[in-house]
Amino acid sequence: MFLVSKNSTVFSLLILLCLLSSMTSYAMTESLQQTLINLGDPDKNIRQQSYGTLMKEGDATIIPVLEAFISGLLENRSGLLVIYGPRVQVEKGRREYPLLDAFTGKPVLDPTGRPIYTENLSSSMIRANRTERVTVLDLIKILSLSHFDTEKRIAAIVAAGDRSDATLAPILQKQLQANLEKRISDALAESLAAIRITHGSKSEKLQAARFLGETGSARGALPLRHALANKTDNDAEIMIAVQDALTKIDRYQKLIGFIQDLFSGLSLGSILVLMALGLAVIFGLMGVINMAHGEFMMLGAFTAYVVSEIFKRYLPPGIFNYYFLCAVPAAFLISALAGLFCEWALIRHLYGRPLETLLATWGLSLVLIQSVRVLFGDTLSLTPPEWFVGSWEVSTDLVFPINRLFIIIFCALCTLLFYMIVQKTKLGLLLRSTVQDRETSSSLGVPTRRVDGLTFALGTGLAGLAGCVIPLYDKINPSMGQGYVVDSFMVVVLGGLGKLAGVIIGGVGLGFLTKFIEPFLQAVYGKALVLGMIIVFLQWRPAGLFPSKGRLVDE
Amino acid sequence: MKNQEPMTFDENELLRVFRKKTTLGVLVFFFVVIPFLGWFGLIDVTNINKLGRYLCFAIVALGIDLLWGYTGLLSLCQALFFCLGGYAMAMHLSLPEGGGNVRPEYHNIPQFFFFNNVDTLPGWWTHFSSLSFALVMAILIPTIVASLFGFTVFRSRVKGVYFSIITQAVAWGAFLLFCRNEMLLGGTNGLTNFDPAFHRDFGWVLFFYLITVSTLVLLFLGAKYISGSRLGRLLVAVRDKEMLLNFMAYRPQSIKLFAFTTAAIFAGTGGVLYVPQNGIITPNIMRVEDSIWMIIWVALGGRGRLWGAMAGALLVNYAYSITTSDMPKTWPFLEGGMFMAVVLFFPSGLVGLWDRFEQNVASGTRVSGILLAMAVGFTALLVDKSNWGLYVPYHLTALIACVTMSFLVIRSLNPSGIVLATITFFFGVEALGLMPETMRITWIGVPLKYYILFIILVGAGVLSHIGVFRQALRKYYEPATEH
Repeated sequence: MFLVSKNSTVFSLLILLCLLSSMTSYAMTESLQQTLINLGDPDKNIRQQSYGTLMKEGDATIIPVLEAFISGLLENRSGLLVIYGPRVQVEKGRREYPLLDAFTGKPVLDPTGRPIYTENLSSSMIRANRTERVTVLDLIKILSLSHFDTEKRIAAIVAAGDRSDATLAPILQKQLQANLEKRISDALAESLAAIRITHGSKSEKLQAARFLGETGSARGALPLRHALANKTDNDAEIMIAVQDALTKIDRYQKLIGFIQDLFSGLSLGSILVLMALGLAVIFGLMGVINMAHGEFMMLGAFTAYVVSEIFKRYLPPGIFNYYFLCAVPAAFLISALAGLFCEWALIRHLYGRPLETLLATWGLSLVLIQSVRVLFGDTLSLTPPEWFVGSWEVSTDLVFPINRLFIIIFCALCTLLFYMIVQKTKLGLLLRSTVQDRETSSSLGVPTRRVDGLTFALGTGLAGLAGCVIPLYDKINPSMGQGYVVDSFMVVVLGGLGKLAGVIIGGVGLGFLTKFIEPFLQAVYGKALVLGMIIVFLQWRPAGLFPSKGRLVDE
Repeated sequence: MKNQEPMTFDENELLRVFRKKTTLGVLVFFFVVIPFLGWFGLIDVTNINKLGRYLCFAIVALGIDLLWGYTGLLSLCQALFFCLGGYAMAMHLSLPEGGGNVRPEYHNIPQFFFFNNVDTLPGWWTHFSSLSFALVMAILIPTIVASLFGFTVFRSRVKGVYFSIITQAVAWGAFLLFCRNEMLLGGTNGLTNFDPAFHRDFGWVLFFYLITVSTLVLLFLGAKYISGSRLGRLLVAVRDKEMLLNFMAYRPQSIKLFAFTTAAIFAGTGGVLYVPQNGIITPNIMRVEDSIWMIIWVALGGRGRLWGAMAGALLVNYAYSITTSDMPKTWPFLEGGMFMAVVLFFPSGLVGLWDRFEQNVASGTRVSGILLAMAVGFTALLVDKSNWGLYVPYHLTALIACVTMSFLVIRSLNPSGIVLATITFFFGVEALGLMPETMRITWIGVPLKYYILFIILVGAGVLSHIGVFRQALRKYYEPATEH
């Protein structure tokens, strides 16, 4: 996370720009302004003339105006050219168009200085006819290649390459010589190669094929395949080069596919580990099957939601991002306290009756789900902090979403912390002694009942931590915990109860297994197959990977 | 659980006569009273149909009791076996030979095929056009699945909680599979479009009802025979001291496998009878939740006692059907509360209450009035209120019966009787439609009457724990000793 944090800030800013692009202000030269006004002139000749001028002199600043023009959102209000911006919610149930000055992109203000909104499009909109629309579209395509918004610019460049638009090649070539941001120049080079592989001379084609092969992007494979299939050239040398490049791309794509699977498996597994750690320690210590464990995770997720709402409503928007820093301890505390209470009120009375704790905690989970549903309603989503938006492109086409990266690191840290607590603290010592031999520990003065309570709280707190990172990539709803709890039980079964390492290996292993099987089979069959594999695995190791060793014949 | 014997042999002559009479009464009630009341139109077809469906659940509960109550294996995939049986039957019923509603525009095969771009009936489906094949399969498939799964799981000595977790995973995996359209079993929509007469026409409904009751009785006798035999004692031995059995050269795996497979067959049978009465089967019934739901029937009824399981299935389902229509939002709270309360406060379930009742019988209290009133109260749940204009005397009788019964129960029982009486009285009044309108005022979605019920129940519980009051009660409720 720390490696990419700089990158991610840039990214999040870009995304923000992208979102606000219609609101972005820009400056425009006087002559262009007049030309744009002429677009709405009733005289056909003047219109034609202004197209010619735009072709020659136009720059990226007129793109928003042109886009508004072809979608009929441009109006000439007595000499003032205005754009109808994307509709916003003015009040509940009413969405209106803001009016934007076409020349600056800023909102048009009324005499009192407030922005003007309008509910309907007016009848005096400047409309384009069919031929004009085609002309303008072409113009937009060319102008977008130097769009002031980097994301849109890259998108335009990529689109040019994907269409193999030979007319744009000189522009791309010219831009490539300028000193541009690396992302832009990469896209330019790739698009240029994609165009040349179809339209270039022989040497250009060879060069382009080699270039695409080295880049190894999935996008580059398309024009290559196209060239191979259409047999546009009968030149053997080119064909071999194309074939070569394709093989290279395939090999590269396979490799990054593998890494991508590994990554998503790790991120799924890390959440499972966090869940399963709590389950395993609760079961290992007290013999309690906590069916409500998923619900404690859900509590964590909803705590994060509540914290974010508090920040949104009562605190300045500038520090909204920091809600996550508060949500993490809050989620832990709330889940742990809820766990402590449930242990005191319910679980305490059921020690030594594992099957009955299963039923009771199932009841508990129903009550928790319904309480949250009554309080908060059903599906909710919350805005993740800006730091976690975006992704980290490690290499061509190999993209790690930052939120997933964060989750992996976060879970690893929590697991480490938990491990330290168990191994290094007093509570951990008492915990381990109680797991090993409850009676002896008790007789040596270990307050086993209190250890039980604290451990239960610790386990549910861990689930709460797992819950508070889930909203970073998914919607939350009151019954979200149920999907995770079966999987986490499988992790416990797979890993055994002897060592924490078992749970970690089990969790990550299950995550990998699921993600590796899913591409070959569909998700559902993958799940079924994984279950089958676990049952077969138990034939070989009935008590999991790391069984707890004891001298008793029976537990 | 451990000190709870499956059979209590009591020398008390009174008790033996009482049990005989009760059994006879229950049989008469289900085989004669209900069909006749239905015949005269007093009980609506839908209510008989509902009773029939709930009795199918009772069959499943019997199996679960053998598996969990006797053998101590908590399986969370019984709903899967229920559905396996049900699907086999549903396949027959959705074909034209089974009365399925097929249309020429859908190539005369069940409609969902059409929406999955299948024009002809797949080969393995065609066999199900014969009823006998479908019935055999409905029993055979759960048997095979259960024995294969059981064999592998028990062989690797998966025990206790691990067993529950694995069965839960199996139920979940199967649910996901059955939801797929490629399985050609209707996907999430399940199988439907059977002959609607099965759950609407009085004749068919009564037919299925009677078949279900007879099957239930037969299976009950079978289960009773098993539990009373040497095998039954082995089942209990597996539950209580599995290691000891190993040392005595028994094979606990085989005994467990037997129990698991038997329970699966019971569940499959329940499914077969359930499908035509329900008119649809979807993968939603085989979720883990439903399996756990089945467990609660047995837990509430009383583990390790066969009739307790059956009574639990009926009671819980009726409670569900009444409360969900009254207050759907609150139901999960009640359900969750029920799970926790049963485990915490009534580990022996209804059987515990009944046992105290029987103690009173053994000591000579006259209880026939109570039982009669209970039967009438239960009938009151079933009868069709719209026809009551014609049968006012019946209406009054039911009311009097309810009140008398509550009184008698309170008179003859220790404080827990108050709980039993309140619940029955409450449902009786509800079923009779005598609940005053003011009782329906809701506060956070719960009608007033439930608050009152709750206060009475909690009050009874609290009072019975206060020493002075307890003493006073004991003096007052001293069972009558004259005989």
